[in-house]
Amino acid sequence: MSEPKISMADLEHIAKLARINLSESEKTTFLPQLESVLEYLDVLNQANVDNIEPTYRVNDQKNVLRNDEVVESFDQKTALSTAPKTQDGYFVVPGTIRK
Amino acid sequence: MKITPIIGLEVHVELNTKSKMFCSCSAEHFHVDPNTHTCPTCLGLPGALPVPNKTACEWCIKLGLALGCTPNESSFFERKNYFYPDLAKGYQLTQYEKPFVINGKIKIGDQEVRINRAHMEEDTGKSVHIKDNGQELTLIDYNRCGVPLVEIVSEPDITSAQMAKDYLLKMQQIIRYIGISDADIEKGSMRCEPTVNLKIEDNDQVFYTPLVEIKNVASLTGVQTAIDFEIKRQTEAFKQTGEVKSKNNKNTFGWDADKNQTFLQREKEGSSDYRYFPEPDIPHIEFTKAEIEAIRKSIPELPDQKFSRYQKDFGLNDYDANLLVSDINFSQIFEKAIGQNPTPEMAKFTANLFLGAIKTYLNESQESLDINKINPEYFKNLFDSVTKSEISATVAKQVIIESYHIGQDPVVIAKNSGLIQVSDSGEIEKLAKEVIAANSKAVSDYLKNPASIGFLIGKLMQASKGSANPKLAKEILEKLLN
Ligand SMILES: [Zn+2]
Repeated sequence: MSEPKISMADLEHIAKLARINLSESEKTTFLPQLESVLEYLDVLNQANVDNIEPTYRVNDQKNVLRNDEVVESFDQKTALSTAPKTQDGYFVVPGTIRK
Repeated sequence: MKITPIIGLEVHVELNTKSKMFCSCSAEHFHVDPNTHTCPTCLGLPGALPVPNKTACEWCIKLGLALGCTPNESSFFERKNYFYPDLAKGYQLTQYEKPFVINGKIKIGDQEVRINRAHMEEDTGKSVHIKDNGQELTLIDYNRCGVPLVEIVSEPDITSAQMAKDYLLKMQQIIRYIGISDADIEKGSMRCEPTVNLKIEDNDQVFYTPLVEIKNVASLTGVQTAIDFEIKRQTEAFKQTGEVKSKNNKNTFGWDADKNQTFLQREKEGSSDYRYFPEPDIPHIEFTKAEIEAIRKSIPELPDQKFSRYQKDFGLNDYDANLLVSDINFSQIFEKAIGQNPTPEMAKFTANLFLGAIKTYLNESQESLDINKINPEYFKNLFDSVTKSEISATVAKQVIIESYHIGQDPVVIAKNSGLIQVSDSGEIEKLAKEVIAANSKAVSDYLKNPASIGFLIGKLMQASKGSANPKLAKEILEKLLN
């Protein structure tokens, strides 16, 4: 078995960035799961990519742009229709004011 | 101890395109009902595909070229991942590795600030924070989400709050000259985040204080006060703790405009925390050399060029030339007024009217000039009359405003109001005799002190209702009194 790919500190950091609260038991469940995913992907690290330009996409499309024209948007009701909570035409989320 | 502030500015400018950056929703969001300009793309709904707005990309390059930047041959968008409700997708589309343009500069007086890059990205939604039964809630309006935003990043070449202000004013001028945004700081279409630290030299030792990025500065004065505050705060902090810049101690401070102070906002996420990666749904963008040249050609005369031209062609001084070019609308109206191929004298005369009487009038009335009401012929006639001493400079200032309002030749207005300068010496002599008779005290003052003749000239001008040629008035008074 090689070096662990992910530490508990990494896991907690990622959870924090995603604004997810994990319980202790979730953490001990997810850590080996993430570890095995990363191990699986580690096969990519075996490929020799010296002197190879990064591939950003597999087709050679470029310049897919649109002209600056306005098309009708959702009406307010449709825009808000999938929101769990709304008020006066706004989406409502838990307070995000930074203290 | 020698302290040198090191200041870099990130400026965000909202482009005034018709539609958003990656979808065809209207980009209008000021005074619009919330969430009425949204679609699957800007709401981040599953399966939506972003397609970049070509005009916005061209405008970003146009601004870059105006700032002396070099376009990248190939650019692409990347996802900047962070989880925050004002951006429904969970990431912002921006440019990281390959921005549209890099390496420019802005001239401020005889100093230069290097521009690192200008890149294209999307704005976020607007948040309104409320309290509902003691519970803190945030209301989100996604109308602004996805509006095209250009970010211009300077190198840390700015060394004072005043220089930062000058940089922003110059940036604002250039943006308005090329007409891609109204760049209004108070309205939020131009935003600025200064990053400040200090170089402290003490007994042959050099220290750098930790970097601080200041957020929420919403006015030009705010930028200045916030930077000055931060310079003082960091100086004190260094004296107390001696803490110096390291890899991990960059902080984000908020600006509290009510208390006039900065406060620690949050530990900033390091750029690796944003986990940038190329947006797989948007192919690379490559403008051809010909397309870049066409964009370059579409750039109008910029403030610096106009400034030099006004000095060279019209002999205007630094101060006047600067005032005229600082506002694109004002300078366009001035140029219409002087007409085609004006003589330097004519241009200078008109510049004086614009910077004197007209500016004073606009400041007092809070009006703005309508370029369609400007008739170059009127300015030419007025100039000719003043040159021939038919109209005094004082009367010219008066009639030009009236002429603008009623659309009549200012010389005709002056004639009709009896304001044509009297250069008839007989007429003036008559008035002079009356003035001398009525002001014996002033006459005896004059005989003791010839410099006091101004009083008598003033009386004579008054008696002529401002129409006497003052030079002639002085000569005649002197002749009669000696
Ligand atoms: Zn949209």
